[in-house]
Amino acid sequence: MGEVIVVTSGKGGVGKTTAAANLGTALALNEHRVVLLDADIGLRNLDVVMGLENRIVFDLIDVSTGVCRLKQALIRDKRFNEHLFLLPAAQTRDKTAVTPEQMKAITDEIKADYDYILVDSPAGIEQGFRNAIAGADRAIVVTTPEVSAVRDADRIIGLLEASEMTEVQLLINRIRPGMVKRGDMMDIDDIIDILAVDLIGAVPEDDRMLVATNRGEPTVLDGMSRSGRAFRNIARRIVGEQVPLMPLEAETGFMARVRHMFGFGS
Amino acid sequence: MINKEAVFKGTRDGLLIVLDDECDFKQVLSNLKTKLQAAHGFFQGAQVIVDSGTRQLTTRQRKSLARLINGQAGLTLKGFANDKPADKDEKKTVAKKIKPEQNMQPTPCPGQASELPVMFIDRNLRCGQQVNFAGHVVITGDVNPGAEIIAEGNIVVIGALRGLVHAGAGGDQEAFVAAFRLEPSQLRIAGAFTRSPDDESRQFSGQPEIARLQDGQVVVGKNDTNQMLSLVR
Repeated sequence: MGEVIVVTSGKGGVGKTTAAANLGTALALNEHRVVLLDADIGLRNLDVVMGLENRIVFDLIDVSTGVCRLKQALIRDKRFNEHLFLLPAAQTRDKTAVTPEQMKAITDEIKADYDYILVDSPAGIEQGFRNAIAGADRAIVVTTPEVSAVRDADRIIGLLEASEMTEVQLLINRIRPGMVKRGDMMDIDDIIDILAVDLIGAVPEDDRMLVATNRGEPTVLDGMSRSGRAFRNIARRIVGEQVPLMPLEAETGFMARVRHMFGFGS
Repeated sequence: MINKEAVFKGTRDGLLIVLDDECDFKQVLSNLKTKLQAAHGFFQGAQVIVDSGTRQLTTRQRKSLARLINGQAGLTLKGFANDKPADKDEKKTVAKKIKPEQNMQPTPCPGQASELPVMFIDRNLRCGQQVNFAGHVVITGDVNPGAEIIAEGNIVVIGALRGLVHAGAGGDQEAFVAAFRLEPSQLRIAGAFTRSPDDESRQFSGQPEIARLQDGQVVVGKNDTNQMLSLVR
């Protein structure tokens, strides 16, 4: 029996799709059987980021309306043998084309055969969001060190709590260590202080990410990328491994503090 | 309804139990017993001082008080105050006598408002969440930016207050807002209203604070934990 993890944020542009693509890829690299489910109907991106756009035949709506069977709609990513699949969203419909009940039925069906289902949630708090969390067992809330993103993350966490989601973890994306050091950007402690949830990882801002995303190759496949390494670590934490937070930059003072804060003191 | 045989007060030093001057000692004892039992371990770990007012306690009476208080889970009788004939003025300053170097001015509790019901919230109040209540609101958790509490009575936040609060929403000028970390985005009491300054001139003081109305203006003062708990009671 697999686990359904929704990747959500409230605010758009913080890196939900990137996080879902990279975490799914990293989990698949570690030989877990993974399905990436794009719940952003009408504004799908996950297929583009994964470089699978031209292979879409059926989509989520086709599955929910019974046009095709689930297995027919799942696109196998050839780079990862039998480990990574994508269920794309429909592009020509909108969020109301599927109900939370239908979403739950689909995730329940996938759960039976796969280890992890990562649901890429749309931005916002409306039906698209409710669809995305309907079948989820746990949530990863993505935020960036911006006041507006943190505010929206707080709102989303409140909604998740209200829908009785007990396991909520925070992923802080696009941290710029230099700016944090100068005091121009919120640091991890500031964000955790407000949101009061467990941190699953922090990902530094990385120019390679943009290049990789445009090419349809997740950065976790790039051994040189710092963000790729951060995502690989987060994937291991999802599975339950204890992985210390990596230094965001080669600077001991800051990291010593972060490690100490999360009990990974060395 | 209110029994004055034994009144509980929270102080910096612990729990102060003030015995009534007039009524019969047996009555005081039984009333105290009822109150302690009704508290269900609420005072767990408290150091107790018994203020006997003008009443002179006999050794026997002291022993029965000690037996009653120490018999309750987690309570320790630390001592007696005012255990000699004294006039009423002196009784009022008893707290100062115990530890004169500390400011023990009891905060005038808005008794008029204490008839209101109290709502306890045992979680964080997050952005977009709103509490509207015709009474006092006590939160054990944070009130985040974007969250709102509107109460007819007082608002006590055992955590960080960063959202919007409105105490005395029905017009009660005596209402107050107290928080372990008082940094509201906007604070209203009755008809008055303040907001955090745009510049960083008002830094967080590092200790619990209380905001109340003084001459129609919101004034923020220091507050300590015990005082805050005594306000809750």
